[in-house]
Amino acid sequence: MSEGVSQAALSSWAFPVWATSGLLVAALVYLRGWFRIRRSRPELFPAWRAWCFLGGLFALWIAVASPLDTLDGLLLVAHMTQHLILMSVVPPLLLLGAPAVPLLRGLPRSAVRDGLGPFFSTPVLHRIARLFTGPVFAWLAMNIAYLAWHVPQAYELALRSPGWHEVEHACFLVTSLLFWFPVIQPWPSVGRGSRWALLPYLVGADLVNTGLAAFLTFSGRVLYPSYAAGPRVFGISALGDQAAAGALMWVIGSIFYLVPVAAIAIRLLSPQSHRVTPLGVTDTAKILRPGIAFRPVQRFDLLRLPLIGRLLRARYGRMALQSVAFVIAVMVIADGFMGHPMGAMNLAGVLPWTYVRAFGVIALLVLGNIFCLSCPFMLPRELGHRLGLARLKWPRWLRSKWLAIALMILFFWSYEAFAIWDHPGRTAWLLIAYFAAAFVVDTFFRGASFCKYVCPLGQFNFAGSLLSPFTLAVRSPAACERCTTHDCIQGNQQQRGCELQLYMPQKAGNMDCTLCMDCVKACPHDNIGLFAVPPVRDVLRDPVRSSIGRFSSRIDIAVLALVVVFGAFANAGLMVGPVAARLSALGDSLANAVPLPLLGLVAVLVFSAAIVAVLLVLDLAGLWLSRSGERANPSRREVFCRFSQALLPLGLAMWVAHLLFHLFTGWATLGPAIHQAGADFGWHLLAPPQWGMNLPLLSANTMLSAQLLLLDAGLLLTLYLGWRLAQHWTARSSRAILLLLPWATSVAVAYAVGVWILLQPMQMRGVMMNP
Amino acid sequence: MKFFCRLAAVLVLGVCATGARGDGGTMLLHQDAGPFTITLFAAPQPLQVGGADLSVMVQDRSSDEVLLDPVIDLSVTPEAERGLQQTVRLERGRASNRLLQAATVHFPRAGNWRLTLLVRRGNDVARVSTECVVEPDRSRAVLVWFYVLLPAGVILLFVIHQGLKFHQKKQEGVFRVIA
Repeated sequence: MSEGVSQAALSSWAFPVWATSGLLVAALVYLRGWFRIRRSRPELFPAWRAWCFLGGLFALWIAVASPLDTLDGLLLVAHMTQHLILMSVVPPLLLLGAPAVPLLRGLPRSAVRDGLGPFFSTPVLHRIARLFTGPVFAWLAMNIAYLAWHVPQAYELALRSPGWHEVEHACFLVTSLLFWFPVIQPWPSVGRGSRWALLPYLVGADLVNTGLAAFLTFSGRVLYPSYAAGPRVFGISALGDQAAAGALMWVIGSIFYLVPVAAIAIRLLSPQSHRVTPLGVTDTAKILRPGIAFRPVQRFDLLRLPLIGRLLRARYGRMALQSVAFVIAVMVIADGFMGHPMGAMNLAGVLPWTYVRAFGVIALLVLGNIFCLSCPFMLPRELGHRLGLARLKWPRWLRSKWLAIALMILFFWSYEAFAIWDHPGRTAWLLIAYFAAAFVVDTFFRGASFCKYVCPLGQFNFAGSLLSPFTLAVRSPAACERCTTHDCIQGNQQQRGCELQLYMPQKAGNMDCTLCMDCVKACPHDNIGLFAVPPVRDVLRDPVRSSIGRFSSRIDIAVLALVVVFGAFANAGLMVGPVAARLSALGDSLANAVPLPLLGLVAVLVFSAAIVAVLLVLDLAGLWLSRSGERANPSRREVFCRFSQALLPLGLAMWVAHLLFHLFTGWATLGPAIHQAGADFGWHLLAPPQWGMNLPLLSANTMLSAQLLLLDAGLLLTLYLGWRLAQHWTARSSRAILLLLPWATSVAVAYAVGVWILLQPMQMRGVMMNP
Repeated sequence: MKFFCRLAAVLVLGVCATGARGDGGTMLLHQDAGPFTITLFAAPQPLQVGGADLSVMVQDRSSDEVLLDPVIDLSVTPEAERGLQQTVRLERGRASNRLLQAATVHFPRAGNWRLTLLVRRGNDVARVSTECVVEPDRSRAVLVWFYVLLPAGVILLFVIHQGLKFHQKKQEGVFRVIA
């Protein structure tokens, strides 16, 4: 065998994404729990336990990612080694890590208590668990699985079908974990029966292993036809390969069984033998339910991170981000006016509609309102402020979201009617109009009137940020109580306060927060942080919010949420083949009169009809509830407002699913678009664009899986929010279900529409496709 | 509770272990041609409309030594419409198993297809062919049903969860009254 071939074989590593991610998550959860237990009971979890568990995970990763996995179809000995690791190396190591309590402590406490608790405390499941971990069941399960999968028909099935191959490996691992459980007795479990019984337990398993191994080794024919029919590598015959695999199982497999036999026997026979007294139930409970011995959970504060925190808190940090965004916006405008007329080959067609939209929405769900933080329209706004003309107060009758909602609907309509995505010049004009509006409004009006009452993009981000996992909040309410200057809102000599009138001690959630960090910089007590919070908390709670009031009394915010939600379905729906064809045919049948604006008009009508339908459904539900005389007796307005906001997860999921499709399909368009812009401006430093290089980042099925998974998550979160709200209003579950039913039906219909849209061929706007 | 944590851990790790699978897929062809022994693998099996991974191992016919440097072109042609032939160059970098060379081929329609491999190494050239059946794409339908039924499964679990919670609260109430 040449050196090149052996090197090629040894470099045949795979990278199974799901398995690797799962193992990493398991390691992180375990380590988190391990560290938390170590704080109070270091003697219970010495370092070797963590090393064993991590070693088990690493061995599992080796089994699924190393050349053993990639060569198992060619060499039986490689396949048997892989099985040996899965059955005899991984399970004992994992169990030596005593994973039960660290994994529980590593999860969020509420998830364990409220989520898993009811399942874990069910007597039926306890009995099943007791059966599974009992020695008789475990012994039989492991040995039957072991023998059954080595029957040639079953083995061949696993070799032929990747799916069955995966089932085979899962069977081996799961039954082996059960098998090794009575042997290791991981803390805090208590042994059942005598330890002497483990000797025949292990020896019996070794006899089964020896029998099968001997059969493989001494059989005169190749038992598994795939290895006989396939190519032979490394100069080893199929029969030789089989004998080597049998010998490996025999020798190494027996060692794994007989060494524990010897260890247990020595321990039992030793006169000084003593067994560690397992901790009682009370001790376990103490660890699972920490009391005062544990430090209070500290909230994760993004502003405390070394690099990001410093950038966000820096005096000119936001301005630096805005400047970068401003330069990009200027480039987009310039290319929009002077560059290639085709949207898909112009920065104005590619950057805002394919990239910025997608990253903006993803950022909302992963981090927060990053777009407003780095908004390029703020710079002319600042300029307007500095002119010193901003003396007017924003008219009282316009202090709501209605104007911004109207502008948002106008934008959705014009986007379709004038095909803005396909006309770089129109995109450029839109950006100029945005700059001009921001400049004019904030030149004459005080505060951040444009952001708070006018900007449709900002309102979209505000609504989306209700699901963001980070929020600006005070670190210590006591410090705010002692504060007399209120710099966070009033400002001081060096730093202005919040222009959106969010007073930090009363600020709740992310509505109207642009993450400008003015409050953070102004606070003389350094008492404001950007904290991690449960993403749906903002929608579930309804406190009096600074400068906003209660969500339950703000119909404009509820309608804003509805527009964002149904905008997602309308925006994606109008891009799919059947809808576009129908609307086009409708336009043609109406005497070809200005078809594009007509399409937009129809879209707005459909959109409005959908919103009205939901309004009616929600109103009916509210009406029913208001007559039921239940716990909270909410008004129809409250029911409507809160239920509307609960739709946000589904809407945002649809936005992300849609925009990710464009991003992943046209991910490589930016490079050629920049080269094209360079060529259009006569900058010959860049090579001519190569449009043919653009291929989708994900296969069609993977993309569809990701989109459907997102929509599923949105649906479930929306239903969960609805359920929590209904439970808040009514004490009885039956009434909560009745209240939820009409609303949940409309949610299910929206989900079905979303699935249908995702299954249709979608127009690739702003993307050059490789033929 | 600890039993179930262990059980959950077992199941999670079991799912992780399912990442292990063969590389190359099912063997479609194993044939001597000229100075080479050529083996063609395909995944998924059966082949379906859409993308498929095709990988090839080339060995020296006399010594069975795996050859890493031949140039391999694969042509796929539908039996019904010969004009739709597509040819791809196989690459080592596309295979996890570095003894193979692989490419992703798109089968646009179901039916019988002819696969032709042209292997060149120095002055040695060999050509082998085989036929395969490409079935209609069921994976998309399965995938859609899976993801549509997934929320139903989660909702069912949630309903059981709420039922158990309700039952436990009720029992706690009874105990409190007795006490």
